[in-house]
Amino acid sequence: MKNAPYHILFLSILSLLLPALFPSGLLAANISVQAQLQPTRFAMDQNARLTLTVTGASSAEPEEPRGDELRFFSLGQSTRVQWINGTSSSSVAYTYRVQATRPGAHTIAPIAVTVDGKTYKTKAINCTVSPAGAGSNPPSGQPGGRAAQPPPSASTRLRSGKADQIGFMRLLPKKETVYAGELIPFTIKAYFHQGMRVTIKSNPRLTNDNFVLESMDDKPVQSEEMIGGVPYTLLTWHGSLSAVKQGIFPLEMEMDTSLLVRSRRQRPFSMFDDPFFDDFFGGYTQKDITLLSPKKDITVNDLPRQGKPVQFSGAIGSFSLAVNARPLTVAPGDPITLHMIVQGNGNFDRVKAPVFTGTRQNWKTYPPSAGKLTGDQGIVKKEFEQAIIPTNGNIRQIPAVEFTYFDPDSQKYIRLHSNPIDLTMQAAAGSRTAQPQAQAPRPQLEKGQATQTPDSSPAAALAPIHTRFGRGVTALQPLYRKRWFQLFMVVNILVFLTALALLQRRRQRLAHPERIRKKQIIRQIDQLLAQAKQAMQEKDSHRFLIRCRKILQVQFGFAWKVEPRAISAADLEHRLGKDSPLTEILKKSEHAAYSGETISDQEMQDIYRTLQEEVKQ
Amino acid sequence: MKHPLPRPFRQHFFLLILCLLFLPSSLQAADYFDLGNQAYMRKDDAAAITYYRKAVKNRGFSAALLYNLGNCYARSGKTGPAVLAYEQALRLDPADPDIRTNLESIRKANGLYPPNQSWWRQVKNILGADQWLLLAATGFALFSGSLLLLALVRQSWLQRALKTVAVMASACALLALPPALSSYQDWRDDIVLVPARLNISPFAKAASAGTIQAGRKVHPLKTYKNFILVRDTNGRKGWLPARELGPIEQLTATVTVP
Repeated sequence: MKNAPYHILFLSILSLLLPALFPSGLLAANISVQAQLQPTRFAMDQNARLTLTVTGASSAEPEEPRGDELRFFSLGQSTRVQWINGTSSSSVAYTYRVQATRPGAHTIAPIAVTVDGKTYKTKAINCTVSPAGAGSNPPSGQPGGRAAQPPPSASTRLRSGKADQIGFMRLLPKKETVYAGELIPFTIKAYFHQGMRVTIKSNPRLTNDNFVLESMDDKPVQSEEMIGGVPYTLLTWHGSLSAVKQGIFPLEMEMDTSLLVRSRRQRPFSMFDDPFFDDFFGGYTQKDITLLSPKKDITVNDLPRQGKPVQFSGAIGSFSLAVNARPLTVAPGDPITLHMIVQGNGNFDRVKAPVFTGTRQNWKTYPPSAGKLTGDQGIVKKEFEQAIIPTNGNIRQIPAVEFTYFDPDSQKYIRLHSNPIDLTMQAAAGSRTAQPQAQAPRPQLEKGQATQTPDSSPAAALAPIHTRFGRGVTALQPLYRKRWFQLFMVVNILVFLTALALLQRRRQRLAHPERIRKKQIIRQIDQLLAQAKQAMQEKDSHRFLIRCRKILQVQFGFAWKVEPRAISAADLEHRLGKDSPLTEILKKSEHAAYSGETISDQEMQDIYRTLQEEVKQ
Repeated sequence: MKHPLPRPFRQHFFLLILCLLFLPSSLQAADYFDLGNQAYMRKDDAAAITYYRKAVKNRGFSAALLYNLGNCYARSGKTGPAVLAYEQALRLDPADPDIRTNLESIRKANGLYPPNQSWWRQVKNILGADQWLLLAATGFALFSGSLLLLALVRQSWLQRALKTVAVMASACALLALPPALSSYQDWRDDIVLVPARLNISPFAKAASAGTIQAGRKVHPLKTYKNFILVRDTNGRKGWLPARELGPIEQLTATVTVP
């Protein structure tokens, strides 16, 4: 028992390797071989798919499929292994693309498949190939390769000549007997094979002028639907149309599509002979195809003439009416806005505003608005507004409004009346507007006219006319074009500019005070010189010397920035030197001031000349 | 030789002749205006309009005459010309309450409700364009005068007072100028004379862009041949034949209603 663990390990490994060591055929219960062609009816310029399935084996060796006037292109193989409750099952499938070189009935010969040295054979498969572009019925897609059943739209025509393998269209009107102008709800369904590369180039449209497309979804709803076991991509539009005139007319719709068609297959030689590379290098061309729905005859009747109301505007359907008004407290002459809503189902383009039934004696009415069409959560309504003015102070109600339409279900004209709306009437508007006029004194008429009496017309609220002509003008002249105003503005601008210049000058002067001081000093010295000269001429040496002393003090006081009166001969001697003539002049002036000494005329002239020269310097 | 005429007559002979020449026409003009008033009293609006037009030929336009013409048009149901006459009368006498009252009445009676006015437009409408401009000019004159005095006087208290006046006057001028300019823009507006169809292009057979009531005020944008591109108070644009519009700025004695 020492080696027991090794035995267990060996058995475990063996159990895992056994399925791999033994051929799968030994483990499989049965081996079966089956071939399936889909579709069994196709056109020359289309393909069919042949699938060869070997069940019970994970590998096999099938021979090349054969068939009269048929070509087969291998698309590869796929293997599937399943383990269910410890039991394995495997299958392998080989796929081929089938093309025909000649239209007609063809047979794919039984295909021999060798599995583990044993040969199995499939059944022969029949197929029908139509000429290129001739079109054929859509495939039923039923398993077992049964004869294809035509889909419900077998009569669908394709203008391009393409077969219904591409798709087909159905037009489903809700009614087939209608009145001219009545809305006919419809549904359009376009079916396309899921394997087809189709592009929608336009929305469905009517093929004749007997009907008018009133509305249709901008974008279709996309879904999938199985017809006869074949999956189709379904595009659905909803909309409504109306008939233009009486008669029996075919209803038909068409739609432009574009199909990607393989163009490679007609080549005699392929570089790779492999579908992947052929597709990779763009072996497709685009082909425009127009899908056409089957015709449906629609019987269109005229509206009955008997009992047709005068106000009938052509509205056909089922409608309701709602009316409100504001304000409800008014005076004669005040406008009231009626808000009218027509709601329901029908041809709203023919729905006109309801008719106000008030009399012209009591009401002044204005044309209603054009109507605003709104659709919210499937409820379509058209709203109108109309201004009405009561002209009579005794009015207590807003009369009803009337809307007429034709009900196709009951085949009768229906008249809808709104309920009258209670109104509170105040004093007349004219008395209120007259109030401000009473406050302004009115000029009396010049030629003995009596005062005006209020008018009874709607213009009664007008203020009375003016009796004084006033100042006459020949044209409406704005103030800025009047000469006096222009002159006034010129004067204003001149004053402004002058003020600016003066202010600027003042500012500059305030910015440089020493210049002003210098000018003042020069002016003062000039005055003192003149006085000195006068004293010299009058031979008044005392006054002359006093002026000379003042001149020197003012000048040097400004130059040395000291108080002029504080300047003495000693200061001049200190700053200018003993030999300076100015020092001498000031000494003489001070001496004369204290001693009363006089000087000669000659000396005065010399001093004056000296001073004059010095000051000029 | 004794002169046949007394001396005072001889001295002012030419003056007398001039007076005699001009007197009949002035009397005639006054008569036409009065005749128009009398016809209006008789509720003969057509005759009143004719007399007022004759008065225009002799004496020109006045606010009173345009206002009376507006009353005639309003009473005879010609909303467009009535609004035009009132608008023109307002340009000549913006302060007249009767003109404003009647203009509002006729607009109200005909459903010509203007859109809600902004505060700016409400303020602008307090005065007319000329009044705003005069206010601005007066403010400017006060400002200039204050500056001039400020440059001349030395007293500090006077300078302070003048500075205050200058600031207030300049503010007055600056605030009054924008409404004045904007109001003069309104002078270029037209009045729709009859209920008209706004065209999307300047051709008689062009598609309609909607209708517009008589008496609506529109602003002209550009002209092409006999059509004018206009924008109404609600911002709608469209072409209208020029004959269906009455320019406010252009006074004319005969308003032709097409």
